[in-house]
Amino acid sequence: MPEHIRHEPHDIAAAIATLVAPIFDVDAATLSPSTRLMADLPCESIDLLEIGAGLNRRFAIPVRDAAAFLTDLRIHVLEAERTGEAPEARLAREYPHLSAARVAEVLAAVRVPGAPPVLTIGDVAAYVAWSLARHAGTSA
Amino acid sequence: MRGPVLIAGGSCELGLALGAALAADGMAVALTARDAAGAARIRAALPEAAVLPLCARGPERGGAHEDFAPAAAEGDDAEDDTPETLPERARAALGAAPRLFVDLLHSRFECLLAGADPAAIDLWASRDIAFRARLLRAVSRAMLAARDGRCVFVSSSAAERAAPGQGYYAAAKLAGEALYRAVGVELAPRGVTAGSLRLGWLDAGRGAPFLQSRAANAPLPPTGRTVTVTEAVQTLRFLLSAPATAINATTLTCDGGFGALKPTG
Repeated sequence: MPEHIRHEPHDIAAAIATLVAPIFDVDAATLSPSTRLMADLPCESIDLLEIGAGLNRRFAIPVRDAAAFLTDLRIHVLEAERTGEAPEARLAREYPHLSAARVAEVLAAVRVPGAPPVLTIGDVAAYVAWSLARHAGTSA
Repeated sequence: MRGPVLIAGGSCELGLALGAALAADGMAVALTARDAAGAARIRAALPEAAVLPLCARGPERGGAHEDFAPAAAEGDDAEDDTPETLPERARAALGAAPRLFVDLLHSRFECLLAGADPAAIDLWASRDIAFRARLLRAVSRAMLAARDGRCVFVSSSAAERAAPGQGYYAAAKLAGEALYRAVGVELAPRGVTAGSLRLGWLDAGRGAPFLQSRAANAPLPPTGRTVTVTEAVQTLRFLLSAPATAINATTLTCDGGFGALKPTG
């Protein structure tokens, strides 16, 4: 991994904001970990793809878009309910980068009818931090 | 012409000729090879070009919910010669990320459809369709990050008119055309275009022994001859050029007009 990339979550979120800002022609300073990509920005699927490709390049990590961008979130919740599994457990397994508190927030939000997608820059930063730590462990 | 260029399946005669032409244009060229023999052919013909191994392993998954295995991109230069690591390996070899990509990969799986071994069918689907999808995914994704790229798939006139025994080959080529068309549709707004070129009979590669074995009075294209390697190279060279960018999400045919002929009994 390039040495100039630091691991602190704040730095990762700032780097992601720098990556995201030009895609939407906004000032990176207006973005924060709480910025909702799909609700606060005009983010579409191709934008997520470009962000994912940018994460590959910026952080030199493989990115599984479905996990990084919570794209199958509602499907996982429905599937958990269908099989009788606790949705919290299902989401924790599918999104190991999210804290238990964030899983609870996400689950509460997704149960609100008509609520916009919950994905935030902070969620993406958590995925990157998780991936960096995982691969640092793998190559150690 | 912009570059650098990455040629997958570059150890075939057409790949070597294309690599030489693009190198003569001043481009940095990298070609993939699936084995040592192919790598040796590339090194012999194009000593200045980069040679990158490309195999069908992986992507490794430690579990159903784990991400791709770490790649060479992470400084972990394990023997990772999968499609997922190819863009980064090409960038490292060429000094810059490839902006042009040509897909010449093909296998020689030809038999009557109902005569194929079931296990061989699985292998064909994995090698000739899924592998290409993985490769195009990885390359187009890397190009998307730079918002610049051009991908060209070398298909075959068999995709439209397959002879008996070419059903699997034709199906793989049709699948490839569909994949490249999808990239052209989805990523062109972000600077990445793609298309396919169906080549007719070519007196090189798999076409050479066929042409030598067929009857002397067998029909020829209206041009009265088969497509030459030079013609194929120059057509590809044009398709990779900036003026051809609008040829996107489509398939062109270069077969001397053979496909337009009325079949003869």
